[in-house]
Amino acid sequence: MDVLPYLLHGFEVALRPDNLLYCFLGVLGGTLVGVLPGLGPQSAIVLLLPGIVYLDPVSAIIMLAGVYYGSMYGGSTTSILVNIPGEAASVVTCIDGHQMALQGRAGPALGIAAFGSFIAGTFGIALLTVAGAPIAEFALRFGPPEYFSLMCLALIVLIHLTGTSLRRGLISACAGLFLGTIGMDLVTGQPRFTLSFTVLMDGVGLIPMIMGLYGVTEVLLNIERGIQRTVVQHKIGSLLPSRQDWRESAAPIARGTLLGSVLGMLPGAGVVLASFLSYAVERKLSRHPERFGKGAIAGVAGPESANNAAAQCGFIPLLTLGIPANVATTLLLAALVLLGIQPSPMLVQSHPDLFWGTIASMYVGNVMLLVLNLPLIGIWVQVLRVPYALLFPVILLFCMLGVYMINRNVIEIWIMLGFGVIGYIMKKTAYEFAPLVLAMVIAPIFENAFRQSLILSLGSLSTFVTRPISATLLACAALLLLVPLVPQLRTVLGRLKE
Amino acid sequence: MNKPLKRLMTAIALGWLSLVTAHPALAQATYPSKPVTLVNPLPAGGGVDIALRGLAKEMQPFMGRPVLVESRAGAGGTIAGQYVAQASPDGYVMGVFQSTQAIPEIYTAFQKPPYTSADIRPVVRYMTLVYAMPSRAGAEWKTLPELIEYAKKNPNKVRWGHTIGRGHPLHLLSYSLFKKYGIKVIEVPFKGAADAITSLLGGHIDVAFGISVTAIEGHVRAGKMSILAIHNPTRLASLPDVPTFAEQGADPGVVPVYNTIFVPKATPDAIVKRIHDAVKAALETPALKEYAAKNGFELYYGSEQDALAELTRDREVSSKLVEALLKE
Repeated sequence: MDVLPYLLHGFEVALRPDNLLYCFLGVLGGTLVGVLPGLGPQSAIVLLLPGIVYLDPVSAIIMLAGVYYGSMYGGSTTSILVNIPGEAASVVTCIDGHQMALQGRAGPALGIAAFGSFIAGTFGIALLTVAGAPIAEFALRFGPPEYFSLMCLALIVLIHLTGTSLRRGLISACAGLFLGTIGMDLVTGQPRFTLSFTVLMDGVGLIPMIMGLYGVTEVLLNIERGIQRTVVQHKIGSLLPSRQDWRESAAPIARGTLLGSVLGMLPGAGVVLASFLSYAVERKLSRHPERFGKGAIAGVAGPESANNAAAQCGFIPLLTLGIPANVATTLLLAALVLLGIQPSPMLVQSHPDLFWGTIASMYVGNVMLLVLNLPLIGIWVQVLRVPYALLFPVILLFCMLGVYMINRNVIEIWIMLGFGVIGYIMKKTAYEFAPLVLAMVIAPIFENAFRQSLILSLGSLSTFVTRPISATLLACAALLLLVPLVPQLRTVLGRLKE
Repeated sequence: MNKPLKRLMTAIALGWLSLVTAHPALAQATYPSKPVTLVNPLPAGGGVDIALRGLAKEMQPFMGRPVLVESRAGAGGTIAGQYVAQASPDGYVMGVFQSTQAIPEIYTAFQKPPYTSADIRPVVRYMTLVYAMPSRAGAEWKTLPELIEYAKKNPNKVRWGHTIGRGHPLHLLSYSLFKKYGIKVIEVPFKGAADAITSLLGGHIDVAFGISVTAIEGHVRAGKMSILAIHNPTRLASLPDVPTFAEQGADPGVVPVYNTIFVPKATPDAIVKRIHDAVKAALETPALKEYAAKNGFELYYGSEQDALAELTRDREVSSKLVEALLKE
């Protein structure tokens, strides 16, 4: 590969003082919107769009990209500290991250999230650097049947997200699948379960739901506890992960990175799915699955690496093919157009400064984020000392603001508050949120891909097994389903022999 | 209560009353006294959003106040339509609407819209976002007539992507072609243009309609797909080799997509005229012309009367197609 001279040229662009400044502003802004619950990278990029036309295109894209991957770093902060995800991809980090904080280990949790993100992010960029184009070409082979099979696999993995009670977990997942069917039917155009509410035509919004379930519910539960934070009494302990923590996190970071990279480069699969699946995989593979949900550092390291790798790899289809992988990269695409650059596979040839400059800036940005986030840990953990009576109005305010900013629709705030009440009831009856959220993310992709596949194959189900990628994914799903049965099968066979 | 006090009270009451009644006139005289907002009914970052940002910038000097673009996406634009229809009629909120939001009552096939065209008033036409029919690279056809011929000979063979649900204007264009030529294709719906583009690039579908020219121009130049036709009265300066539907004898008969500025019905004439004049002046600036050419949309001036005539034509054609679709 002769990428080195190009990359060096990219660094020449990225290390120019002005671009360094924009990169820093971008990752700083990204960290901030990541930290603020409800406020996601999308809202931030939309806010910045009118301003960027006055910038040099390279600087503008460097900054906006920084906002996006920077937000993945910040997202875990509030998950760990106050049990409210900073944005959608950090939902699962709440489960073990906040438990760690309650045990006085907020520092190591934040630390491992930052290191994991750095490692995963850098790996993602390295992939983009050396093999961006072939990877993107491969991702294009994912048609509707492949997405269907991938979602089948995800649904099987979902079972491992259910906590102590499989039954409750499945009920929660089914509710999520149902929520995912609300909205306009893609094939017939008919509204389903919208109860004549126009806002439900597009389905239940993921952000209002997450902010309701996690943010509002958490606030309600804390108020009930008499506005007393248990955390404050605990000493905060060391700020950095110990050697033991590293030993437990190394493999999850590696697996999370791989998983996130694969899912990130597929348009439509996305960062949320990556973090959830990584958590499920880690719990399945762990030698101490009982520690998950009680502050297992692997449950922070894996998902946080996965969402960063996915965010970074989302740039692969964007920069090499000119197609967006998710909402945030769609907005980056719009930014390119606004700057007078046509997104296309020719970007590498027609705008080498932009292509290589942006990639090089990501290496720089990731280092900046690490340097930025490690000293910040000491400051963030101080948040735990703020009296909750002061903290919760601010949290609620940011949740509402973030939800409103997506579509500027007040009804979505009501939806969020409604989910807050639902979440409260779920917590009181010991139902978990994670299967619900993941099922709702999977449901529409699953259903649409299934129907598109059958339309394309003229109704023949064989399309799922005759296409190699789809067949492989389905075989993996079947294996995952059958492997737990093997010991039981063996005992049954043994008994039969006797 | 003694007399002088009573008189004072009356005077205050009368003064207050006159202020209240004088308020609309006062408002009109000073309009605009604060920033005005262009509401984009489609998601931020899309073609309409980009086109509106250009207008906002060039309109600002003629309005004398900042012009903001606000995306209120949702339910295919109905949410933004309702927002504008129910806004206070003072000219500070205007929507830039396409057929679905302009005449929502004809797209009632599945859900009753929360407002009708009687609640809004067109002010001035702004532009037409040119939509294209791309075809995957290496297809068996090179032109639209060839595609139609192929589809006639091979029913249920061509995989035809839609970027929007059934019964929406962009779907109606494809539908009217199917009806006109009696062709049968495999209709694959997608959630938005990006998914359809990805599927075209991956070769999972053969053609698609409802993708703005800007979104695929780069892919066409890179040879990854070709454009069979654009839905515009004339060819585009940026793509002089790409023919229109009509010149290939395959006019689908539906009105090309228009983006017209609307305000609430009760907005006073003086304010409507003020907005109209500012947009018209902006449309004549070289800066906006250049911006439009670069971003794949055609400036398309038309007065309120022009817009109303267009709406009537659109209503006739589209409502017939929706009816036919519902009978299927």
